[in-house]
Amino acid sequence: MQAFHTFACVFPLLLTFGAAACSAGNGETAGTADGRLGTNAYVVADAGDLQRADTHLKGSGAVAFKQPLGELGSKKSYDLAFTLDDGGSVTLITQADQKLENGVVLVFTRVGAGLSVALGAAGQIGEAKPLDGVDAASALRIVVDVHNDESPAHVLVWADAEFGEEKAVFNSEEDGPTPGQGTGTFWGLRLAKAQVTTAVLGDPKFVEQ
Amino acid sequence: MMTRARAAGVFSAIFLSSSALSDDGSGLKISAAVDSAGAFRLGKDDRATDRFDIREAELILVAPVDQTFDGVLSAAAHREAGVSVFEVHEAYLGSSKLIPRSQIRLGQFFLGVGRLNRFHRHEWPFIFAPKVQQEFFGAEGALDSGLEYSFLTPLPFFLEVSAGVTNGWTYGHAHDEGEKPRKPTHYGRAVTYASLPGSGGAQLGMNYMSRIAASGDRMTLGGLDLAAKWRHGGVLDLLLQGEVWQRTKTPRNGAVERSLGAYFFPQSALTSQFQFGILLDYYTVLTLKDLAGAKVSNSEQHVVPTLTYRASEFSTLRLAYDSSVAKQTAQADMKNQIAEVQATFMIGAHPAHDF
Repeated sequence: MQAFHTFACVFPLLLTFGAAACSAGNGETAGTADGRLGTNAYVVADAGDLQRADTHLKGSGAVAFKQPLGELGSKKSYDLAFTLDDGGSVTLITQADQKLENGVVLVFTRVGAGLSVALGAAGQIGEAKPLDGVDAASALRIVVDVHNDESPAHVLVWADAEFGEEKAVFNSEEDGPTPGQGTGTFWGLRLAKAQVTTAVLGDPKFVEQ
Repeated sequence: MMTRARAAGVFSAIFLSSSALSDDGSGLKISAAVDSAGAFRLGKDDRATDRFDIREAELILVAPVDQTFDGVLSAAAHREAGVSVFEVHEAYLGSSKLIPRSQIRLGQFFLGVGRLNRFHRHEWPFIFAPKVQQEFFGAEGALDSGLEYSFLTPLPFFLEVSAGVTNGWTYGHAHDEGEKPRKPTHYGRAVTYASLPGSGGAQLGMNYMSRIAASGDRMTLGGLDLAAKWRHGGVLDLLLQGEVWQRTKTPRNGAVERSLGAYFFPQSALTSQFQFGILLDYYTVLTLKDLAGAKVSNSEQHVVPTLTYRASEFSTLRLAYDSSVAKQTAQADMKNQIAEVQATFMIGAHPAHDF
């Protein structure tokens, strides 16, 4: 029996070190970035008339963030702060390929003081839904969860600092399903008459037990 | 998904009819299992639900249908938006008498692959699914409707081979009925057993699964599972359980993704009622690259010491501490520490155990 206890102690160490060795060996990745928004390095996908600084992106154009999401079926949150001119929009594209295609897409559009969101995936875009109680004429802070491990992708949008399924201003399980899943591991933003000051990737705000 | 009223009606019908049948000598066995679990943050920046809930309440009915077939029905309540909703969990016709040396399941069931996936969650030796199980099979396990056939080979050692094919309209965590796949979910498993010195035994399985979704996305899984046990006087002295899996996902219009995950859980009895084990859990995406095409090193690791108290085989209390770190090149390590608790019990008839 002693031998088995010894095996029980040693095997997990071998497993852990062996697995760690499989994934080790990479430092900072190669390749150049066109800029940073906060700590997130990005590549410009569509220069448009985009004005770029470390603190903001302004105007119209698109950027793709250099670092990938963890995997195809990842579950992430996106903390966005932005302002929109009337008629302007910010589009979050995630779980997309390097060209920001074939991903899950959320288009936030301002009309007057109202904000709407249209949800897309697999080359389809749904009808825009108004987000009640959100004043689009002022600075916006929007948090989005995209659970691409679910089929179709589960998307939640919050306009406040309180999270939870019941606090969401948009929930794709209730307000209309995402028309599919994303099939890539990259994310980015497309701006049209907009200014983005924050785009932070994080763990999901909503976790099902 | 069933409406709550309809689900409640179905549940009532099942319960009432089973009560009526339980006295008629039909061999009907009824049991219920309740699994409550909670996860709590230990630091303000840690991530957990901070709730203790009934994770599952399951009613299980098992009976011979006739001289050839057995019937199994389980209805489980899960929390949906804060409310427990009953759904059909498993419902299948089974037989070990139709074809010699064979077992057949026809209906809806947990797919017969791996170790954890073949057991209900309240029977697991730890509280929450390892990362590899969550990612590849879902937090609870892969469940579908179809046919599974197992054959005990006539060899001088134990070798059972199984194959199954199921609808595959959906796989994993789905919110709709899905679409007819290009290739349904199909899988195979070969399992052998060997006695070990000191009243022990070990079961080793090799597994394969694949599916091509309607969209053209292909998924292929291959893995090994191991369970070794040493018992003494009805007490599980030592348990060694582990699985290692690799998954390949080939999207219709994206890059191939290969992921590797493994867990290992050694557990030793402290007394006849207390057991202590440590869950070691590792997961990585082997093919992750950045926009420039450079490889991105990544991993998620968990170490989960787990203390189990079992007053009998019908009740279990567990306390665990989950320390995890997620690493990815050029990003800060994401550490998380949570406390986990679990209480499970089973009442009614005692179903037969698999190894």
